[in-house]
Amino acid sequence: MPPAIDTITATVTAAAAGGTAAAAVAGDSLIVRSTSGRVRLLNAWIDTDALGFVQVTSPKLHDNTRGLRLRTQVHQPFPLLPFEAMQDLYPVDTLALTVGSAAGAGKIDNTMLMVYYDDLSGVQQTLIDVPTLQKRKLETVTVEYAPGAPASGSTYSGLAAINAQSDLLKRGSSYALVGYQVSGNVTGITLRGADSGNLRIPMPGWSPAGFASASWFYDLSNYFGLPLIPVFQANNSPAIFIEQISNDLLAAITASLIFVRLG
Amino acid sequence: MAVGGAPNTPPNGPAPSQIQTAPNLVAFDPKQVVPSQQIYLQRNDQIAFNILTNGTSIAMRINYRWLTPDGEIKEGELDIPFISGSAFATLGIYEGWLLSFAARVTSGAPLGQWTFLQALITRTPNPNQQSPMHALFWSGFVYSFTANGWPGLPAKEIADGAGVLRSITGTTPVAGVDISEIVPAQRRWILLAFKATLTTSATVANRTPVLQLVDGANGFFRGGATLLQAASSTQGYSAMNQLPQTTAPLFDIVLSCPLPVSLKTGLRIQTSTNAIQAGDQWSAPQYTVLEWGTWDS
Repeated sequence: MPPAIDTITATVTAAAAGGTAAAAVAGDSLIVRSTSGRVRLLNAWIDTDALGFVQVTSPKLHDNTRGLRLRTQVHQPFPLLPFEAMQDLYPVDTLALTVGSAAGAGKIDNTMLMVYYDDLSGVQQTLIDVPTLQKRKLETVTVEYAPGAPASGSTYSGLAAINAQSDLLKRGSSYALVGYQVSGNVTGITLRGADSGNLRIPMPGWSPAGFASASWFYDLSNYFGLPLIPVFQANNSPAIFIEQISNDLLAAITASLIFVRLG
Repeated sequence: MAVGGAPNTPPNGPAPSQIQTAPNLVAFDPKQVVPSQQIYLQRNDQIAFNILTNGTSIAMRINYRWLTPDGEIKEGELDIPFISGSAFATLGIYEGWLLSFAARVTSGAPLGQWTFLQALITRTPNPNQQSPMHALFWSGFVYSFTANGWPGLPAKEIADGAGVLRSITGTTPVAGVDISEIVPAQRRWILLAFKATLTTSATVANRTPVLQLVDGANGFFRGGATLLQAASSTQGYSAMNQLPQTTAPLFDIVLSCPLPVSLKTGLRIQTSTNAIQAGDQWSAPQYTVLEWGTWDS
């Protein structure tokens, strides 16, 4: 019964005010993965250039007319949904993601969905819950992310290994990712490696919310009652990658990932 | 005396409200009672919409309802923006029976605009004209200010009905060149009327315009004016079923033409002016047609 966190990022350029369909970025798909287990939409956020809306619909949601339609703020990618799994997704269902923006030519609007699979065959992530963290926590360490300006605003970019800035994680130890800080607004940053089954673990890139992002995974796990704190093995450091989905501003951002070493 | 519980929660506070969700009064098991609609879609089935319009950047909205295997009726909406010429769009309902759909053009309708819609079933996620289609279950014209759809009016072929009356302003040619109008791709016309004006230069010669219908290579009708136009004059010409004029006209000179005449894609309506001079200028070509779409040219 291997659970897994996954990311779906969709992008649209020059969205119309009335809404334009967003397409999954390279490497992602708007089709929910095939599984025999439950799939939950944990949260979603958008980095947009103009006031508008983001809409997620599918025949399996409440309706296929508006579904989840949320008003947005300009370049404010904060979590849009309640911290409670109140919307399941369905295997191989195709999500329709629409963004209304009207920011103009060349303007990129990116949406990230954070999805949790109860049982995803073939993927073995290490995820723990808050009680496990509390029993095994030893000390806190941060990992720097400073990739410079991203090359693209609508694809995963700024690839950097977790040891690119400093290789301090103690080999042989496990580290739980409890939260992060980001220096400026960006659609989101992700972490992936063998310990995440090479699926991306997403973090909304909303810099003003440092008080919340510091405990993003801790809070998620607490609210949802699920093991949502990803754990990575320091031995895998060279192949654990941080990436970002930027926006059309292509600003160089830095980030700190907050890990707790587990005993 | 209060016992247990936090303030304002039972047993100290008021009882929680009663949830009053009311399920449908009618329920059935699809295994026992098959819904009357025959269009059952599996998870990988798509409803494809093939759209043809003579408009530019029109937007279409399709609202639909379907019955899930759980007995729930759900509704959906598909917006298809920016259609110019032809377009395909698809929607899926995951699994269930399609109950209805209603389509309308939401971008308004300039005079003479028409939009034709075919509803098909396919398993191709992003189909085109060459994709395999498994059924055509409705087709018809979609309007701007009211909806059409399925089930409803009987399906129509694209060439059915009265056609759309269009008044078309043609292309003014450069000086010394005749008018040439072509029937666009995927269009079928019945030419009802044609008018244009010829302004002759000072070069002395008698011009004799001819209205001709050409299939792209070969002409199949030529109807000439029976009166001459001299230099330095402006004269209107109108196509008409009429005997030759013998006296100077009060208004236009008649260009004989067997109106109305059916034309298909690629056919041309042209003038061919005998003794045309470099400085002669055809202008203001205007004609009316009844227009339909056509799948095959």
